[in-house]
Amino acid sequence: MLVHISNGTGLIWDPDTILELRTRHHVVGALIGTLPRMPLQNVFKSLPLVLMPEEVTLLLENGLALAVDGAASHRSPSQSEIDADALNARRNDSGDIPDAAAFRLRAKSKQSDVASDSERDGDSDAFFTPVASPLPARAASPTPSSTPSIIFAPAPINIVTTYAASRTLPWFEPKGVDITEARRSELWTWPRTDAERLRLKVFKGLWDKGYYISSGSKFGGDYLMYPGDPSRYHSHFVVSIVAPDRAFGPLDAVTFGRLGTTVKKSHAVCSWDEDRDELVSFCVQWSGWN
Amino acid sequence: MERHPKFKDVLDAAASAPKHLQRLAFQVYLDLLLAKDWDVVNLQYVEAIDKIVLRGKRELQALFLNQSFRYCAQEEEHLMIPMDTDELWSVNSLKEWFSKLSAINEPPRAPERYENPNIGIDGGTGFDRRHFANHLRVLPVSFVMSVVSSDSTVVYYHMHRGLVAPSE
Repeated sequence: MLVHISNGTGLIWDPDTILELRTRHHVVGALIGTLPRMPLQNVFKSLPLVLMPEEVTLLLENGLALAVDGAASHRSPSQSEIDADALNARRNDSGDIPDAAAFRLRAKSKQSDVASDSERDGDSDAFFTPVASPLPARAASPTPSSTPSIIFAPAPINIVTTYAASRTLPWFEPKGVDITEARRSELWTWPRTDAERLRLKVFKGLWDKGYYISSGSKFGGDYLMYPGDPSRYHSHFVVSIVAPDRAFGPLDAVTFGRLGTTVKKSHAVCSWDEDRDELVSFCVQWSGWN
Repeated sequence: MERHPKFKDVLDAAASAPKHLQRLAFQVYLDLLLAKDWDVVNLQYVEAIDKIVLRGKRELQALFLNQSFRYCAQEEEHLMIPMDTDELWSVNSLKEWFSKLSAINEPPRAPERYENPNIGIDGGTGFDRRHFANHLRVLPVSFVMSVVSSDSTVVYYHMHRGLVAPSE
């Protein structure tokens, strides 16, 4: 499996890898791409999948994936490759996609309907097509047939196919490197700070227990934890990662517990016990007694 | 406060505790026993963590109802630690509390005068003081943080050791 590192962010570009990560390694990530045919919404997302830095380091350290330097994997294409790609794109654009052909046909017929009872000349593909008014002349109109009006002709449909993944590009030559090499070449350097190291340890501790983990920002925590695939299960835990000596007031417990209870979750306060090298966690729940 | 008849219970159980702990514990004790009508509440001063710990059960009946009420019978003993609103806790302090609370093994005393008319200690309902004591002899996996604010409001939050999923 390859994790593409782009500007310090780990991305997955192909669906098979996403499926494997999710089903075999309970690593979920988050889709962040827009669906080309469903823009202007953010419920359903598409490739690429962005991984949390914890997930990237975990996959690399466990030898489950290799890191790929996104930028360095694209060499300069030769002229012949560029030409071939352009030809390929043109072929796709001119009828290989049935939808596009159908669209074009429909658009054409509409256009000719509109223009049928008037003589029109000029390029039918022009965006603004000056034609004689298709409407019957009104009595009040002084010179009905000689005044050209402008109507909006349906614009030609252009389907531009841009592949999100670089996999099909001949000049894409990914070189996967392991964690040691990725760190040495500074391709992947997370975790750097103590806080990040704590995050990683807690994440690994929870992941080792088999939970599916996603970002918890929606519920005011660091993670949301699911007992199974997030699309099938309700998440049971909102996780906050805290340093072992981070001081809280009792009212913080109220905040954690109250929010958790209203959404049927436990708020888990997690940290790492350095002496015993193990995960420490406490769960806050509202008692419901008041 | 000292003249309140129930304050004697606090004094009896935790005479050596600092005054402010007695005040906090008393507030929680009254809230549970009188406002929430709990069946048993006991107090104990745990010097190791410098807290007065309350232990109690909401419903005593549950213990000796027959099989069909098994769900009720699972009503477990709760362990309450009264806290001021400006006291601090951390993962480390919780860890310490739990380890020291685990040392409390002494069963709490059943109340001297049991005032529930339906089921008295000697009321022939089969209540066995020894059974009750044994039942309580478990190491805590959770305690209830009882936060007492200046207007005497008490809020109760479970603190579980480890990952405990919500009950529903």
